[in-house]
Amino acid sequence: MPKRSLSDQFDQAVQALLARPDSLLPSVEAELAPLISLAAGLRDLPRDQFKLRLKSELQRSSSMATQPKPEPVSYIREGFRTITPYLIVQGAAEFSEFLKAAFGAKERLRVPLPDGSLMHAEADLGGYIIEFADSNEQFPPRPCELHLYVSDADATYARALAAGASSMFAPVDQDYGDREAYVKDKFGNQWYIATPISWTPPAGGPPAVQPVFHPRGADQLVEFLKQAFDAEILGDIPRSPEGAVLHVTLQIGDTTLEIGDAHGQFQPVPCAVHLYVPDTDAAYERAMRAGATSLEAPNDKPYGDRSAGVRDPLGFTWFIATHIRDITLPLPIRRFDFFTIRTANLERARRFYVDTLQFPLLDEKKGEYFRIAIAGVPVCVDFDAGFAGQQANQIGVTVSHLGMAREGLHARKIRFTEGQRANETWLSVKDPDGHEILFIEER
Amino acid sequence: MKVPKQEAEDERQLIAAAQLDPGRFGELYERNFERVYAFVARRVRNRAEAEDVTSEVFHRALANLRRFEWRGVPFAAWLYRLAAHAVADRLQHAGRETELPTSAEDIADPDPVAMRQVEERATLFRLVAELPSNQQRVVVMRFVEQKSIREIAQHLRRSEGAVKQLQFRALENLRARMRRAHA
Repeated sequence: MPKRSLSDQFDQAVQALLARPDSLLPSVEAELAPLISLAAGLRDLPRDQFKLRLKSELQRSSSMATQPKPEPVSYIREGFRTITPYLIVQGAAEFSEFLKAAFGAKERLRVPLPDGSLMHAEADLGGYIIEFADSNEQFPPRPCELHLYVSDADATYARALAAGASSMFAPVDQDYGDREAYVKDKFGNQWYIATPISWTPPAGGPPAVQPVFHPRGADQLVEFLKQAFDAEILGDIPRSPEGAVLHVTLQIGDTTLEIGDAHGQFQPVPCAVHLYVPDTDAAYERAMRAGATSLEAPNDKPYGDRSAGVRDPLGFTWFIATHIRDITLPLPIRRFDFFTIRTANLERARRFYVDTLQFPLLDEKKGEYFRIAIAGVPVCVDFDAGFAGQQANQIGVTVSHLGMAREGLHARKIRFTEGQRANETWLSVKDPDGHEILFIEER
Repeated sequence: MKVPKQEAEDERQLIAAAQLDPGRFGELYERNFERVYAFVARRVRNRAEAEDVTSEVFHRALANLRRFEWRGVPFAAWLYRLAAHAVADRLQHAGRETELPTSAEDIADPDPVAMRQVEERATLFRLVAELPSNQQRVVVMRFVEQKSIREIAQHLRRSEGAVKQLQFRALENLRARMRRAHA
């Protein structure tokens, strides 16, 4: 009989060690003894996740100790609900245009990367937020199935098709009381567009956006969501004669989602969902115990959330988050554009600045304005027929994305108006003295 | 317990800094986590208890840091005393607040042999993080997650023999590193 290798002998001893943690060290050949003694010590090796989690708990405790009165923040970021679909698509900027054109969405945030792709974006759809981002190597495309309640399913269906979606079925009166259509966009997302026709929605209206899941194993997904996230079943669960779940609505926190077993044209779409919970660490642990696999252990994010990622046993992705502090993103200012002075006599001003003082002329539009550089700083001399020597000054800056500037001003509770001329769009803010700052979108 | 002079001075400055700004406590935590965990793990029944008690020790240390007075005894000794109290609480199921030592002076020197073992084990834990990543993964899966060789082999898409080899090499590697650390 051939002699077993050292690694085999060693593993046998390790196996004995792990099987009977309280017994004496297994007897082994002399050369293996020191290794077995180390292996015994490794049984107490701490979990990395525990070390990281405790550190972050202590950091939170210590920051509470240093900050005299922290403003209490809700665990759900302002404007969000418990559940927000997170769509990872190829061509997020184009997808944003589709959302606007098809469903009248308003982009509320855009975080671009230097290559122009979107690291993160948010759109408001009937008071519900949809998050989306460009796919990359780490995050391949993850389209979603979404159920939208709109005021006129036929009109929205037509707009969605005009915006490039393809029809899965045209609006039809369903026996469950909705007029409903079904479309698919070019990014792989599927949209159920519905209007209640023979049922009365709850006060506040039906949910404008609701994620839909068609797993192969609806019961298993329901059980997972109950165990991991305290999901509650609303109403009955209609089943097919074979026992498949036709449809079930679950409530998690303040939002609902729908699940049905995959069948026919309704096949699994690997949807990702952003889920706000009071305690990310606890929810993550529960999700793992309920059979999820970890994508990312809980950690603090620079945007003020503590966040983790798991994949449930059916393959859907859950970004679990707890909002821990409000962070105001910086305004996306790209460059200083100009400072404006006004004149009722553009020609006279031009002679003074350009001809007499000889400041370099940057550009001009006859009869409207000219721009000069004074020691490198661009100044715009603007024609204003009613100028009486008392008008406010104006500062113009270019911003990389108007949506981000809009969000930044919102977050700072600064009032602004929006303006547009030819192919130029801007936000206008008045300072406390009435001077105007223009945030002009980069072209 | 003895620590080299420079290290002791660094530690004194760290403690003073953390007493003024609790945000600096993280550095003390990083220096001492493995020690406290090793001390606690030998004295409780399972991993969940070890984590609970370790967590309690560091939370108490943070809350009471201002009451710690530097008298030349290592900070770890104070942590060990907190840990001993926390373990005792746990064993008695008393759940009562035990009196905290306020200075290093009233910390009796514990059994030096036992403390040397704790220090050695803490070193072992730290050294695992320095192993090549494939060896480290095998050690964590085998000893922390208590996976079988077959499960690890499936997970890593390697043969069972290769995983046993990796495990063996990881332990040899740790042994060599332990020797260097104690040289």
